[in-house]
Amino acid sequence: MPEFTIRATCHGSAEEVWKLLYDPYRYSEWWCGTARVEDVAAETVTRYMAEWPDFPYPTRVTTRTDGTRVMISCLLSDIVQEWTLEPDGVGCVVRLRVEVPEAEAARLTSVRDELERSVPRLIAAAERA
Amino acid sequence: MTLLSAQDYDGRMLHARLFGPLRIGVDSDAAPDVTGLKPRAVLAWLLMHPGLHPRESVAARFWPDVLDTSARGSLRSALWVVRSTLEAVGGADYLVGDRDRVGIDVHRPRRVDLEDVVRLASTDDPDDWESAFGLMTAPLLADLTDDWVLEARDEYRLLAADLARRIAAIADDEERHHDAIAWTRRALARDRLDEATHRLLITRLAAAGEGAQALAAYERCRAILRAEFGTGPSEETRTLARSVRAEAMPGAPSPVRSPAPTAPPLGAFVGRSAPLAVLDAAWARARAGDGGVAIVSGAAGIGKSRLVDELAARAGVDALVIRGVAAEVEASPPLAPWTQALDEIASAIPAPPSAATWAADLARLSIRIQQAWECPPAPAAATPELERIRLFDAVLECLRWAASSRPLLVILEDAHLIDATSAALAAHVGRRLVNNSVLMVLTRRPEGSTAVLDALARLNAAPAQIVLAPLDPAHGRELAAAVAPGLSAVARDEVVVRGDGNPLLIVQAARARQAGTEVSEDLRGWLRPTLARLPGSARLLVDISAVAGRSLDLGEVASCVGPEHTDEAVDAACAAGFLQERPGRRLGFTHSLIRDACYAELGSGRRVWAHGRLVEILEERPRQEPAELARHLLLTGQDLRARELLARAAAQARAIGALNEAAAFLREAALLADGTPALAAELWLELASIEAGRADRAAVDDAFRRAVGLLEEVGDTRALASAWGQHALLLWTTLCYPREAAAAYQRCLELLGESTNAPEIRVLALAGQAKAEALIGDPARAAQLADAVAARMEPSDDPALAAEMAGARLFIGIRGDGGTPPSQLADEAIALANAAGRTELAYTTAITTASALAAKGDIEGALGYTDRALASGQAGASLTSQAYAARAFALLRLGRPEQADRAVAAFMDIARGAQDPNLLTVAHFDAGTVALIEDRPAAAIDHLQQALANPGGRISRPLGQMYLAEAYLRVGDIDRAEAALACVPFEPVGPGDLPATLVPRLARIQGLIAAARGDRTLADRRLAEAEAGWGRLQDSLDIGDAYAAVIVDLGRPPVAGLVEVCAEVARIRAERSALGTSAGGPRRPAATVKTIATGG
Repeated sequence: MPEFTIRATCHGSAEEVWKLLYDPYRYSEWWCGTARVEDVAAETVTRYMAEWPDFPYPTRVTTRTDGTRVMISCLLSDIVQEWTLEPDGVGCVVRLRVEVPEAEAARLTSVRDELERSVPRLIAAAERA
Repeated sequence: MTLLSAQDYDGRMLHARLFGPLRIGVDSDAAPDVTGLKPRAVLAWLLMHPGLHPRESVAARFWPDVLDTSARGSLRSALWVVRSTLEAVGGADYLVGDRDRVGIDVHRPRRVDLEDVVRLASTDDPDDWESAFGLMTAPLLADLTDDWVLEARDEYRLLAADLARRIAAIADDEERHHDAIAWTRRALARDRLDEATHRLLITRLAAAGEGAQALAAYERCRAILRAEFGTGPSEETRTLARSVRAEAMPGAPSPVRSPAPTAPPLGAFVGRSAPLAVLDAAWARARAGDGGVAIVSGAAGIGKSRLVDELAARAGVDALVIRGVAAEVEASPPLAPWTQALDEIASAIPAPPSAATWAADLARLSIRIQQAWECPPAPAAATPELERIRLFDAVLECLRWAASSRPLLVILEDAHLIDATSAALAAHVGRRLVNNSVLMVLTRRPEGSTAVLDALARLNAAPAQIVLAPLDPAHGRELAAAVAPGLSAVARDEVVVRGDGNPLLIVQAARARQAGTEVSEDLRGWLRPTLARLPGSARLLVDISAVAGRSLDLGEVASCVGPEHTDEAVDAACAAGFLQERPGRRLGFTHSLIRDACYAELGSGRRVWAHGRLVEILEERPRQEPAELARHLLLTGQDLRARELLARAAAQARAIGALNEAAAFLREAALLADGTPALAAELWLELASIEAGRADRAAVDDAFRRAVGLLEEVGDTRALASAWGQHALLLWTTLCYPREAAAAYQRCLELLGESTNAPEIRVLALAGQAKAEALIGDPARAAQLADAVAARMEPSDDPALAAEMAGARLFIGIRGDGGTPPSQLADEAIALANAAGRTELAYTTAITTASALAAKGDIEGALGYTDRALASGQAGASLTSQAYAARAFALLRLGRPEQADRAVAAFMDIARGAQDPNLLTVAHFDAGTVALIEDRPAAAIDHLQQALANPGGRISRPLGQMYLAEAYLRVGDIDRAEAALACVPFEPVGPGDLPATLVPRLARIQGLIAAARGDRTLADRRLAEAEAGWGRLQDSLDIGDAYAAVIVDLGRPPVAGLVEVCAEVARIRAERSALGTSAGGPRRPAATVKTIATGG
């Protein structure tokens, strides 16, 4: 299964990154292409993209069994993001591992591009807060 | 193999031998062994009770602690094994039955030795009696250890004794003296405690002109009665003995001796005045009513026992001194040291008033309590956890009862060897001795188990600590002179140097030197010449004591060396310094190092023989400890018998809540079960169940994996499906992992497929899936599954399962959108649970309902259900503490803080009493939460810190860190508040933490911290962020799903209540208003900003 990893350092507090990851309503602040999020339930949310404002993308937001990683899975494409935070001085290191299923392998480049632009936005939003 | 001669039978004949290991066959063909303990026990019971029996009653007999449906499923599996076994020899037709009944066909020819015994014993023909007696040459069902087997075994043992007595009486009437004596001896061999039979033997020996043997028989009678009951023979027997002696040995002194040994004189006490003074002071305080605990530590031989002996000797004539000693080998049942101590209380203190129910609880542990207090044991509690609490409290009450009339000194020796349950009990008792005239003194070596210290430390019970150092040379010389006054000064110095400050070594070296042995030898070398000089009986006694690893009672001593040699052996072994009289009319080594040396002196062949001889001795005892027997059998290579006994030891340990020991016994038994995969799988599954009780998930998975591997190897699909069903049940109930339980139930159903005939297993799996779906899946599908279960059974089939399904419908109701109100569903579920006798299920349902009502804002209703739960009686520490936590929360919300405080105190006390670290973690979390709500920040900090100190506790850790931060803020410690909050992003988060709610919570605390730092702008930004976050959740948070998520993740209802979005928003608005930064609100000076953190 194709996968890639993005690593970045945030000089803002880990709490701010954490809030942005755990609050689906704020995904539009950092996730490129995301216009809004609605229907936040226990583990699933509905994401709407700027490009297709009326097309819902059901997305699961959960944690791994050990509970230290946020998992954001698109339920249409089965692309899975695994976010991990590690302390780093006053800030933190943000790691993102993305798994792209074989069926979506053709989208690997565009997905990587989207998230390589999203991670700095996430960090910037956290550092601004 | 031919079991019984087939020549008497026409056609096919089932024959079964029940005396000895179970053997069955048809005609001359022997059936293979029935695999599995339960199938074998079921077949044995059916053979003992031929004819048809209701399946329900047979299932309940063998599987009493599970759902009726589950028991019937297990019975069906066991019968399948039995039928397969019979089929192997063409005898499957003997097992008959229908949907409701099962049994052995009484219309087919059969020959069962037990039936022959009953028939022969009921005639008037002495020849028949002899034949019946001859059939009972081995114990009934020697390879089974079920309680009903033990009872039946006793019954037939006594029948054999009765037959022998009848035959002896006829022989005596016909003046066939030798026959009469032989049969009387046989009667005694089966019933050694019957004093009338002892008298008959004495009389008949005397009548036969065997005066010396008659007196020996009297001595044996005396030794047995002394050992078993602590009393001598009756006046009638003593008179008989005197007359026999007068006739046989005129002029000889009376053979009637004092029944009780006197305490031996203590040896020299040198160089320990300071530690003795510490103990004296503790004892003086205890005598004055201020009880406590003291721990005496030191190396082997350093004088710990001698020190406590000295304290005991000075305790005063009015005091009662009781002791328990941990066994030196891994062969004792759990709580054995406490059982010894309780025995002594029962012997010395009158029975409590009949209203004291604790005595009947203790009677399950101590046979002496049963006898001396004439107190039959009460039935065990419903669960091991509850049983443990009951026993612990009963021991405490017993000590208090004893101390109410006499100051009580409790000595527990060799605590480094103590079992985990005894250690937990010591800690439980230790912290509750204040205001009682009890001093508990423990001795321990620095190495070995620290279980007692750990348990005491967990409970914040600080005992007086006494560490014994080596004796200085001057005291060493004084000690050597005291024990070997004839030594020269040079020899004394030599001895002191060799002893290196260790009093035991100094004493032994001095004695050896005085006897002419070189002190350059080691302890074994010093003892070897003395051992060699012992008379044969004394050497035998020392050897058997060494392999026993514990003190022997006088009955065991008599069995070991023969009653006629008992006094000689005891006197010689004691005089040589190997053994000494111990409390409770027992005989033990003077020191464990002496025992170790004597054990090492045994050659390997003699050691094996001695273990085997000890097994024979123990098997003669009226009450045997399976764990001990198993240990010695293992050392003689009898693994198969040991395996059965270990399984029984595990069952006994489990029954008293000693799960650690039960798990250890079962693991050992399972590992011994090579070559019999079905049996091994049974043992591994049993172990998984125990590990679940210990909340050790990894161990559960390991045991289950092994069981499944074995069953796959055998290819038994039904058993495999059953195993998955059992595993699912553990995951669902004891461990509370509903998602994995659902998957396991699914696997069970997949294995069953459409064709496997296992209706009980199938309905249980469907019911399990319904419950899991109700909690974590689709409520509509859960309702469909519940309907499917209902269609397959009537409530009367299995009331408990019906109650569980009602519980599932309650969850559906909580998660659903209307229909029947949850309280009505709850009332139905509780009524069904009570009707089924499932009080713990009724309890759980009441708590669940309370939490659900609280989550929906009905606090009065929630309080009503917590009170209903608590009013229904004890339900184990875990459930009871949850009920108290929920009650505390409800009371607090209703503005009744004093009552809430009492509820908090009650559940903390329960959690401490249970000594379960994970439960204590939960209790601290709940107590901290309530303290924070109550605005007692210091208490909140204390509790939350303790909760967060256990990383394995099933609590919401990020929420705990936020509560802790808020508590720090309220005491003005902003730095610590920030530090606690900084931990949040790195704590694990699960669905039960309701992540969406954590974000506004975090923002709020950030706002409060900013306010406390005087940064009003940031404070308002964070509080506004929090308010907005809660506002977004107002419409989207499904309370039912959130509630279910908490139960799934944390394994319990949200006892401190669920999220109340409106209340959170209102609180933040109030805080913003207090800060003066909210839109349109007045500005306040920075100095007042801190005060908002104290707002509720």
